[in-house]
Amino acid sequence: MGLWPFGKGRRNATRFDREAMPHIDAVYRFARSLTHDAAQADDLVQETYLKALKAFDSFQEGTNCRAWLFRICRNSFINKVRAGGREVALDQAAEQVHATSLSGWSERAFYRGPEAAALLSATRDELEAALNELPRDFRNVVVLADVEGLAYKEIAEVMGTPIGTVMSRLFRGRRMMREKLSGAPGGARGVGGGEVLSLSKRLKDRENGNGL
Amino acid sequence: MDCNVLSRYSDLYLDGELALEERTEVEAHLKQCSECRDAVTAEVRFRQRVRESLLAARAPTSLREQVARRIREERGRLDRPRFFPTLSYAVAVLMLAVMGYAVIFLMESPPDAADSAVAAHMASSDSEMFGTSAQVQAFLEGNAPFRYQVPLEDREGVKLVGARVTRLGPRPAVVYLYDVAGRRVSVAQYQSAPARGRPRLKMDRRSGLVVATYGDDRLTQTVVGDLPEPEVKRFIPASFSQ
Repeated sequence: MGLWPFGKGRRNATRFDREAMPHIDAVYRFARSLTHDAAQADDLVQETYLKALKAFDSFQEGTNCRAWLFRICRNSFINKVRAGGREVALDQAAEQVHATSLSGWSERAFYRGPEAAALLSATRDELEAALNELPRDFRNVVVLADVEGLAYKEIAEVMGTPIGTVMSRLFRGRRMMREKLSGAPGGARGVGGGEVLSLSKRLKDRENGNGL
Repeated sequence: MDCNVLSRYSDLYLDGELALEERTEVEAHLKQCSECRDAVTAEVRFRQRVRESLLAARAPTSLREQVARRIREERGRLDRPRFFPTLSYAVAVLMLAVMGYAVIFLMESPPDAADSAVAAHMASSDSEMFGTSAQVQAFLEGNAPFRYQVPLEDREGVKLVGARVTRLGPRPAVVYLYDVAGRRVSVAQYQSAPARGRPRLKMDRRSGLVVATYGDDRLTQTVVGDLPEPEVKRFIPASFSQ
């Protein structure tokens, strides 16, 4: 709204420089992951910081400023995509549908022996390429978890999706990345059909302090 | 806990998302099983490599400078004295009032079940079950909040793979998950609202998904899927298709 009382403004300015500015590399990496394009990422980072500056009053001190910036960044990106008339494409919707089937979480198995060795010998370029080839929603979640170190709950808030979706995208994204790097369709050890996976319920219990 | 179970929990474990109790179990297994221990160690090393490699991407200096410059400009603009603060406040209060009315108006309009069905299709939710058609039905016998009716029996290329008991807005609902040649289709089923000249079959597209709603006096179904329309029509009984 721009109703910016003077004294508070100055105090806010130092706080903004101290809390928000150090995250510019992280915001840039996330913007790259969202846009897949250097020039667009630059614009998005600028927009994110301008919006963050105006909305800094609403940022609660003591909460995760990086996650707050990521959320602004993602919202700006979504608005841009919509404004550009490029409605969420069908393939992306299909991706989402695909991602929300929870069964993926249970299939993950370890990579052992030669496959594990192949993973560990991957170069930085190969790692980047494998990540970049992931479908966007998967890539974003993997970046937030494995590069930026956000918790599932924080990722869910940034991405505006339920925590179950975050987990399913994360596990599948990781698996796709590893399969790509190890050159082998990874040890999807599958669980017998009929297993009840009330996973989000367990998480909910955990949030209520009942243990997973 | 055996190796199989452990490999499924490894992501949650390494992500620090397990509760203490489960964590202790995982660690107890790791202590006695060198194979799993090696696998976890390798995974930790791989994750470190991913993290280090990708953290190397930094914002270019030109971008940093540009952001800093635009923030300075924006601050200059914001700090300029305002001549009509009272007027600004008045406008703000007026806008809030208008928004308040808009929200109340929206809340009073009836919830759109089809929208909720799309949300349910896209979201993963509370209590669900994956398995064969028979297992899913057994699950529903115990959990369905009303007299459900499986919308489509298994047939070539159409397989019931799961169900979820949930709510669409205020209504209890059962969401059936079908596998149609590798794609997922959800059918949300809920008790029909008292008929108000509602069309018996409505086809629509939302968020790139085909949405079809059909029903009789007792039950209404909303089919959601990323399929071409003719495929979705397979879910709709012939009596509604006309």
